[in-house]
Amino acid sequence: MKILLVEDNPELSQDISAFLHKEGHVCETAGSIRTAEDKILEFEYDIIVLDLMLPDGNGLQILRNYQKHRTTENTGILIISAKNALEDRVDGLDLGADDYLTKPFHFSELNSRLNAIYRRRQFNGNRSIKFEEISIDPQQQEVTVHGDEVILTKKEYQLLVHFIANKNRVLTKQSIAEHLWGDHVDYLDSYDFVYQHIKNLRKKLSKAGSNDYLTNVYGMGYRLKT
Amino acid sequence: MQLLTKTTLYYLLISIFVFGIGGVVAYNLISDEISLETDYYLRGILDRIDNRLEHYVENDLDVSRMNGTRVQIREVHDLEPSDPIYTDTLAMHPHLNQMEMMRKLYSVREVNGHKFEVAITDVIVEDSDIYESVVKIITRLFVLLALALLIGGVIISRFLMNPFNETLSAIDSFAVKDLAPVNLPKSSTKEFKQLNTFVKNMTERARSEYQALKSFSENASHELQTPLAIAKGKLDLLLEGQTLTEEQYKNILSAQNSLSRISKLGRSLSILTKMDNQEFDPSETTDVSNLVNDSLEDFRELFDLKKLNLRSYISPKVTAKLNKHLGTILINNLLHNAIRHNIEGGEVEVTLTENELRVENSGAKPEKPRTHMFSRFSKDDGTSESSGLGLAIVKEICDYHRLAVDYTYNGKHQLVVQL
Repeated sequence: MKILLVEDNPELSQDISAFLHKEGHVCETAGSIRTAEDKILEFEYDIIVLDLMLPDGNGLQILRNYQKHRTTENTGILIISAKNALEDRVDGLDLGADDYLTKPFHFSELNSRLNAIYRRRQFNGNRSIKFEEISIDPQQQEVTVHGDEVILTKKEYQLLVHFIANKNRVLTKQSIAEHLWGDHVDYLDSYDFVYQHIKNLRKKLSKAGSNDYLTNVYGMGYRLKT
Repeated sequence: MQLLTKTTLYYLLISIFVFGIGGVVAYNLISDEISLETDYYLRGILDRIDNRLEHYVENDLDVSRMNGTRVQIREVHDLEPSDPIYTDTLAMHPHLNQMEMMRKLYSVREVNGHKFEVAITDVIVEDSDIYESVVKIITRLFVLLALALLIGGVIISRFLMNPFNETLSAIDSFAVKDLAPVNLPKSSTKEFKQLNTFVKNMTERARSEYQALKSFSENASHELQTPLAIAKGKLDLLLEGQTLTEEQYKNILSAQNSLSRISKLGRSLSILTKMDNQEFDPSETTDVSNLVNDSLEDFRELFDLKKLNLRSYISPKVTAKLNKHLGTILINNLLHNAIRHNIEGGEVEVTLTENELRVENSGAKPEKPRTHMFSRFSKDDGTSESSGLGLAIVKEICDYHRLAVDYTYNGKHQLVVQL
């Protein structure tokens, strides 16, 4: 993927782009509305990751201008903002942003969201996700192992997609919980229910004849190993 | 009591004093003047008597014919002539038939070798009469003055105090979040000018400090999130390394947990700040039934995970004046609270009627007193993961919409919001 990261904090910008590089993406950065708009005019990106609070104004301005002059429907937009105010969320999504991520976020979460947007924009969600013998049809939310359908709950499905988007990365119980339950997660004193879901997912996949690719890391997180 | 009424009363009090002294002075002046005038009058009569005595003596007439009610003349031989002597005396009043105070002139006159004793009396105005009149005059003047002052005071206060009253109502309707400065009336009164300047400066300061505080606390909780995002990102990058020990994992995880808690704390405080700043519209009419049902749907899984038995009785189409965003937070916090302070396999009962939203749950009796339940950062134990803000936010949201909320424990925790 070719990504433009619009974020004014140099350190965060550097870390995110380092992470995205490691994921194999091309990532360019812009620290202000001006540089961002220059770059958008010059190049075409798969996804624009947009911070809202920029030194020379609100990032929504970029979104507004971009929507007026956009030449391709293939570019996705992900807003990352410190504000989780409902209004901002609605404004951004109304202006055609694909998704909204509230700071601070796990990089694994960012990665999952970017993958989802990319699939939706580039392939209209038609391209299936493949991992070894597991195949996922994102549009139908269908999972097959060796061509046989596996019936998963909504949460188990989300979990599987999240793992495949972040293969070989340790996902902590906390980041998984945040991925599945969002804001509600802070009130739960344990992440035992993450374990429950993973246990069920593993059971269903292995029953369908898949290898067990999930490994537990010191009881604190899980990794999908290729 | 109005200021002007008060000053009027004080002025009247001073007037009583002044009028009292004035009365004494007037009394003395009048009484002196009357004595003097009476004496002149008596003296004038004496002069006329002198003339007539001359005439009588020349014609050798009987002087006793001159005697009357006022004048007594008799010829004397053994007395020496004397100047007039004025005395006060009691004598029979000719018409009133009673003893009255009289002024008497006594003199021995010598006319052509004859000596006459002359006594002239005349009614004088009595001291008590003067006293009475002076008192009457003073009281009437005083009553007149009092009436004039009071009526005048009311009329004058109308326009004199007008700028003051306008300033008062301007202060009364002033709110720190006002965008425009307060509009104060112009006045030519020095004190009111000072007051207006003071009020203007004060409200301006309050307004600008409020704006600064508002943008500060809003920005602070947002600016907080970026460094948190950096820290969280760094920890994620650390996790990418493949050669971490269990100990290192553990530390990274607990650091991430703490970061999440700071971040959520910031968001909770931001909501409280926004409510303090009146940034939500409390007059929205919201379908509470929908909100509760949506939240229950969101939480269903969490209830299951804690093996809680949920019973809900939700009346349909219950509406209330409630900001939708805050309403969602309110209901979520109540449900979180019911899950958090519950026991494994416990119960939660959610009831929504036209009048109230009631959330009951099983759980241990709280150690802290009931009244502390809604205070900020109040927790049962210091180690708990909760922010201690959940119920404080519930309380603030209820206050914000003027809804009553109460907590009771009778074997079960019970939170009731009156809709």
